[in-house]
Amino acid sequence: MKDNSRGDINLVDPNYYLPLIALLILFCIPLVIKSVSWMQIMVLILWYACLTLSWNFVGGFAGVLPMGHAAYAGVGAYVSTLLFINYGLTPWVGMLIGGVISVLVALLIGVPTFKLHGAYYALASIAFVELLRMVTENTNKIFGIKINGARGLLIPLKGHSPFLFQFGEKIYYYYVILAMMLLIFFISYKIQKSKLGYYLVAGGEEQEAAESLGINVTKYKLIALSISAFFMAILGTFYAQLVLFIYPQGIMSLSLSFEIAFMAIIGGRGTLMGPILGAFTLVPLAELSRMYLSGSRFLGIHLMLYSSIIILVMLYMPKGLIGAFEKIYFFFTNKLFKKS
Amino acid sequence: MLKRGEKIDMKLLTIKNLSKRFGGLMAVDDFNLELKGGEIMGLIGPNGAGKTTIFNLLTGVYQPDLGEIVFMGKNIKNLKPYDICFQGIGRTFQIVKPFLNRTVLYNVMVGSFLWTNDIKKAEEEAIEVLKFIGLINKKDLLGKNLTIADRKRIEIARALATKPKLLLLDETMAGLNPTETEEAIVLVRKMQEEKKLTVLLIEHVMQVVMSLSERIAVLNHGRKIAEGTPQEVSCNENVIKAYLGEEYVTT
Repeated sequence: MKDNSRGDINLVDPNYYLPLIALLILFCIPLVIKSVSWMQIMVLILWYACLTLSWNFVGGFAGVLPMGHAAYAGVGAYVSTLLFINYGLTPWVGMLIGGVISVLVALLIGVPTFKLHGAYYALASIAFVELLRMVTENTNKIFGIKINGARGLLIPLKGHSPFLFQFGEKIYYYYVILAMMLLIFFISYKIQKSKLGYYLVAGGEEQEAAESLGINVTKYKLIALSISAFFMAILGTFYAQLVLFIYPQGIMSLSLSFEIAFMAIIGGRGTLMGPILGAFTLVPLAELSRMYLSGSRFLGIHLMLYSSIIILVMLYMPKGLIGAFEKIYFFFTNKLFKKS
Repeated sequence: MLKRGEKIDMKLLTIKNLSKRFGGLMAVDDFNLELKGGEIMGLIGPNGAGKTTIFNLLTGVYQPDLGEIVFMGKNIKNLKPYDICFQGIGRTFQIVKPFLNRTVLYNVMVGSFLWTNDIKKAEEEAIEVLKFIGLINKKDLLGKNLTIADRKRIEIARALATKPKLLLLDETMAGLNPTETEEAIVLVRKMQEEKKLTVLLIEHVMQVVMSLSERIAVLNHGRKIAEGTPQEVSCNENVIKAYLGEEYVTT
């Protein structure tokens, strides 16, 4: 997007009213869509948008490449669920505790691994999420608390009870996740326009130069990772409450980690809108190709289509979808401006 | 510790018995140097003499094996690069490292954020520095679209934005054409006069070193073989030997 950091808000400027219109559409979608499965897809799109935005704090702004970010979602989902099952604590509070624990885990893992660069960091993060998944899959009980290993945990159904983060209809989940997305987007925006954002970018682009300018690069990367891990954990809790069932191969898997990274990279890492755009393109693509193609006689054709599109984007849009999107966007906004 | 803006200590930087070994190679061998506040000092020597290693030791990129580095009365030997910047030493890199995908203004703002958390103030200060250095009309260009001369200037601008007392320039004039070199010389003089900066510069372009430096230290194989005014150094037997070979020494 264009730099709007200065100047007054001008509602005639398409850079202001177009995002507002997009937001309005997002608010109205549940009023139009009545199908449960379509609502589920909408909720998932927003959930993935939140995940990619959270990933973007580290993978985008700080310029490292985490490929095991589902680990933090897993920590959040398990902490809030275990607290709920065993102590009856509402996931609204549980998710904050999960967030804090996730930050501690992130710091523990971040201090040694941020000494690594490029592919080595990516490999270390993959090793970490796999380690966490395997440990969880092979643990039945720890300190008398039942974890249930690979079979996962069922969250007891309580009907429609907002206090316990369980809703009778998808529309509630939709507005909760929409609010989360706006919050994470707002924080991303604030960080990008602050010293923290500048320091993260500098450290990511040229570590040695950044350090000569007084930036403790590792410290700032850890701050970014903490923010990221906190939101990942909260999103893990959200998913647990949406599906009411969690298991290691799902919520703390390598495939979810890759999906998050792919979406953010294909959308445009390091930008504000890129990760959202990635989720809004790839989630429907995956869901639709699964819905309409997986039943056909060509097994796995939906995956082939999905990955072909990813490869094409990587080849022809090095800056991600956001680069192409911006060109179209500015083309039209310039036209609008000239007409008015 | 001295506060910024206080009267500069006569001895700004003292390097004592500095040594660094890489495996079997003695990169810097028992190097001593004193720098007074406000002077421009040249550091010359053939390729591989250890000049850049000295810069890296001064800025904490490498830890010295032996020796002391005292800057404004404080031993900075074991500090990290980012702490050394806080103490008031700025540097440029021989192989320039601008933030390529960001604008010139962004690059310099990263430097000016050292003493402020406010983005507006950082921007104002960065613009001041860009005006001073003559890059203001290129402030919206991306780092990767700059010429080599401008990339070198951006590095100086970034370092200046951190408000250093001592500036280490690593081959800032290499690869510049004569006009650009002339501009760069004027810039370094201007920094010394207007910003009261002390400058230590590594340079291969003799015309630059001779015209800028008040004193020159010559390095060969990690050892200091001569030190003095440009005239003294250029007549020194050891220096001629190191640069041209034994047969050029006239007695």
